[in-house]
Amino acid sequence: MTEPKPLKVFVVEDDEWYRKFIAYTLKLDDSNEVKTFATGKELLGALDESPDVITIDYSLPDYLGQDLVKRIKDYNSEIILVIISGQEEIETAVELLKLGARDYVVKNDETRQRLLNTMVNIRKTVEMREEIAGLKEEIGKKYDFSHTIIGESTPVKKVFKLIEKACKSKITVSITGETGTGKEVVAKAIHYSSALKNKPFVPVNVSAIPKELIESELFGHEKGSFTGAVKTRVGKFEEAADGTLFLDEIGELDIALQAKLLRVLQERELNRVGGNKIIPVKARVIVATHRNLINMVKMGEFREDLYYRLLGLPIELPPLRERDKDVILIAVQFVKDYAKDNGEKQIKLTSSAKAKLLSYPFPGNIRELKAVIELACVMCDDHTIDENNIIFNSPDKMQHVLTREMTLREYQAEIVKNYLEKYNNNVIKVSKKLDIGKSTIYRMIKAGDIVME
Amino acid sequence: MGQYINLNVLSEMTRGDSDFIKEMIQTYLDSAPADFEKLKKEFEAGDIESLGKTAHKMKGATRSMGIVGHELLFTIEQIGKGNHPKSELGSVYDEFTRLFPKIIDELQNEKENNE
Repeated sequence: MTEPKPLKVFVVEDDEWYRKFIAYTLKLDDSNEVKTFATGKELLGALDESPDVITIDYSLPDYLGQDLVKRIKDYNSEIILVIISGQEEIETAVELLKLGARDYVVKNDETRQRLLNTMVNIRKTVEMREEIAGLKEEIGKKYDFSHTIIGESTPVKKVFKLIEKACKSKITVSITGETGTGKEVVAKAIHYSSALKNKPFVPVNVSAIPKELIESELFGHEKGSFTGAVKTRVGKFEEAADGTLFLDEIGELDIALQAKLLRVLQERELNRVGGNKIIPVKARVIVATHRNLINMVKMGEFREDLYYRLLGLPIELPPLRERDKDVILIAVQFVKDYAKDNGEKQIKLTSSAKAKLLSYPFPGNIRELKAVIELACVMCDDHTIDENNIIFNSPDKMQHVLTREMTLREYQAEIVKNYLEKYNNNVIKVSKKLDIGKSTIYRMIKAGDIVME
Repeated sequence: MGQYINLNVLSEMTRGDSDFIKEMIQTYLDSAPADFEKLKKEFEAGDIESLGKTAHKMKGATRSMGIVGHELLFTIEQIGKGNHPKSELGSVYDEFTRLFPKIIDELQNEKENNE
């Protein structure tokens, strides 16, 4: 079992007898580092020593309890304050607790036990705070874009530069890119690398929420505002507070609701559904879509004013097929992740496997690459992934033919290869289907344009 | 247990830590007489508010030491705050003034017996 972390406890008490008594009680726990002060002034001069806890006598000669509490909280609101006083007045206790004191212990025969109990609870609070701070740091590291977004290609380097700029300001960011290019990863990377990293990150997938519920989901609702609104609910804008609200698939937002979103973004305030209270909006907004919003504007499906309001800093994520050898760097990382997650030793990617990965355009982008690599890790033998373990299961195998720049000869080879796969390498059948000679197909195979699997 | 002091209170609070009890007796002997002198001067000057504050300061240790006069200090404190009739101040003060030297004597004896 690990030793508890020492708690630095300051005691300010003008009565020497009681000062010694409190210090003695606190030192019963070896993990408390106790330092005593006779006046408020002495204590304030030592706040830079970063105490975790301060016990305060309510009636010091130079400071009243509430004044000292205010001064300390102004200096560092994280310091936990316990008032120890002979004042058995409930009003005084309530006032000090409202100002941020953690507890109020009256000087009597039970002081010792009350103080010890209070310290046990404080220790739990401090440990929980540290745990939360540690988790936040972990999350920050997890989404640090230098770790999460892998790549050395020119298009991805451009993205890195834009992310760096996005991190330095609170400007609205619009992320576009094909499905699977990592839009949410980029949004999280911006949030966790910015000054807002300790604030909430609230993602909302607009396309996943039924049209009739999205307004209440985003803006919240008051109790009784509609059938089923049995209690007041805070919306995602409020939940994000002064952190980041990530609106994914913003192109799917119903046109009727676009006007309300525009008003909220312009006015920086909202009303919950069925409510009159004005609630300020402080969250940074990041939006993402795989759709071409400007085309949607032309088609009348997306409001032009909202489009410009949301555009902010546009970041276009390149598809994987345009990221040169990034596919290998990312694949290697996925292999490492798989091995780590499954407690396996290092898995290797052979040159032929890499070549096969490079030859495929990944219409499903990084999401598809991850699926391909995970399957390869499962299928491979001797911790070595070769080309036979790389299996592409894209629902539309020919999609990449249309998105990739190729020569006519390469297009022909792709089409013939696709038919050969479809008809179990039956050359006669394929030649009939495509209305070409068998010899043409054999010639393509002989020339290496088509590799039979 | 003496006539004016019940150290069982302090003993209970410190789980019978005799070294610490001795230290606290000494601390009381060192500080309380000065506070008592201050109390007397404030009474003589008619400074009721300051008198109440000094009584408040003395009250905590006096009570925790199991000393009989702590209720008197509480009353003086309340008079100083205006929560208790001033008319009673004279008698309460006189009673505490009468008790205090005896308290100190008894504590001094307790200290010597423990040495």
